[in-house]
Amino acid sequence: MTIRIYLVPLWLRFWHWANAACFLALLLTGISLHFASIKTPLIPFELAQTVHNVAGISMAVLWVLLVLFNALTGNWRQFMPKFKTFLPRLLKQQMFYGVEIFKGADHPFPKTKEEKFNPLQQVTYLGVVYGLLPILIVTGLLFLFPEYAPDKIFGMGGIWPIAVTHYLIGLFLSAFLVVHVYMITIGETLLSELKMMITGWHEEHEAKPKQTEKDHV
Amino acid sequence: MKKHPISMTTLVLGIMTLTGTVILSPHQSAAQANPVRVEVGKEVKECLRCHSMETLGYQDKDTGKLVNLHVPLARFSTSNHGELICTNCHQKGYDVHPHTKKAKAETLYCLDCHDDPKNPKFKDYRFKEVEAEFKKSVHYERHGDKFTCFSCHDPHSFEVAKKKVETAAIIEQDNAMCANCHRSPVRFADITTKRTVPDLEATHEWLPNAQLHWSKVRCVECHTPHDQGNFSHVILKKEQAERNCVVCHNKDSILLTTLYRHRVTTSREKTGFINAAILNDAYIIGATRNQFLDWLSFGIMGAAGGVVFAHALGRWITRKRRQK
Repeated sequence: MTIRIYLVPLWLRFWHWANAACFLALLLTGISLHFASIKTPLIPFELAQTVHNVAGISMAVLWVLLVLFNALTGNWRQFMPKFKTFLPRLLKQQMFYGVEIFKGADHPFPKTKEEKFNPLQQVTYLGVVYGLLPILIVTGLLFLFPEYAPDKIFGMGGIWPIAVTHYLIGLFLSAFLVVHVYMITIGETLLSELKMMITGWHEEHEAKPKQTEKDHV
Repeated sequence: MKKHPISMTTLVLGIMTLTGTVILSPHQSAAQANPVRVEVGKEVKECLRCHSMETLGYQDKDTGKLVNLHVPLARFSTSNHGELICTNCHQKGYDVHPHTKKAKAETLYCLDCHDDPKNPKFKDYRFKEVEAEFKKSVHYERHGDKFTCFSCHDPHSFEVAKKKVETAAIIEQDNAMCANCHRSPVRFADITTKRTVPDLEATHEWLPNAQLHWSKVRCVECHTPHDQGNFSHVILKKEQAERNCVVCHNKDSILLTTLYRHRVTTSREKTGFINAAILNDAYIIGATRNQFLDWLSFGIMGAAGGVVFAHALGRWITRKRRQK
């Protein structure tokens, strides 16, 4: 028998997929703009620039909506690590991904309504949503409105450090995307995580003994 | 190139200045930042007793147009010609006041001096080639001898780009030359009577962030051919102007051989950070690439892909054990 838990509400799924679409568009057009070339253009420059601007502004709006809905629904708590037991829990999760998973062990922190993310996801998503994304958005907006950028930062023309920051954050988030997409396959089945992000329902086989947090800490 | 006529007819305000009401000092604008200001000599000061007056001018009886005779000391003393005395160029008949008719009919031709084979400092500027290029320009094609060097380059204020420290100052000077006619219905009408001055915002509607472009690059970057590896005086028709963004927005940006040419002293192939330092006044999307950052990005993305691949491979190898 399968237990079904409704974990991802509609607004969060909408945000997730809209954000994913924006991010993918930004990534492809960003690569095309950064590595712009006459001989081997990936996407025509004007098109890449327009799409990057539209997708960037859309992602900024989506981020504001996420922060707002997180605050209103209490979903922000999902991002908060349990500080007292954070390190041993993080270590256990890393051990699972690095070693135990190859032995067929169960996920150490099964999803519950109260705690959808494992400790590694919590700290990663916290950093991504409340750390990297706002920096990416602010630097991106400064590209759109360079008159608000400082004239000089550390003696360099103001836009250059902003551009480097934007590029680096984009790079880190792209690396995150690669791992994030792979993590889809580390659910109960290959596609169960993907299915959950579409339907909102997390499915789990009852036959497996459910481990509690106490067992792991 | 035909000589440029200055057919003066009536000096309007010259007499006033002869009364000595204008006090001149070569240091009066010292506060304006330019380290290459030249202290003008006694002969120049004598001329500027009249010609430094902002209102000095006359109405040409033949054309009815106002002719401005003002020579701003502050700009003249920093200009390329700041070291010269007025009579180096303005010769016969200028030693009497008001100047004689003969003097007023003088014609000036830049290459009389600038093509002097005995003067090595002009060699690099290829003035003969510049003249040949100019004759292919839309300005010469449309307006012939009516359009001269002086139509763009004011000999009393022009500074060669490499004298300027800030790129922004080069851009400002060079774009002001274009705007001087292309944003002035009066100046535009002096050159052509066929049309009213076109609306630059409308003709550049296709250009993203047009205002930003105008403040950061020169009009001539797009409005001259860029396949000659150097700055050209062949000003193109708008239909022929560059519209391909990637010509500037790429690693081998043409701006490095035009706008930033005189600053590029180090090989860009080896020096990403130096490249950035060279261009530190203006970040250019796609052009201000940094090799270290590019390597870092390939490294990080490669590491992420590698970890994912290795992990997936491990899961595939152990799949049977896990199914038990």
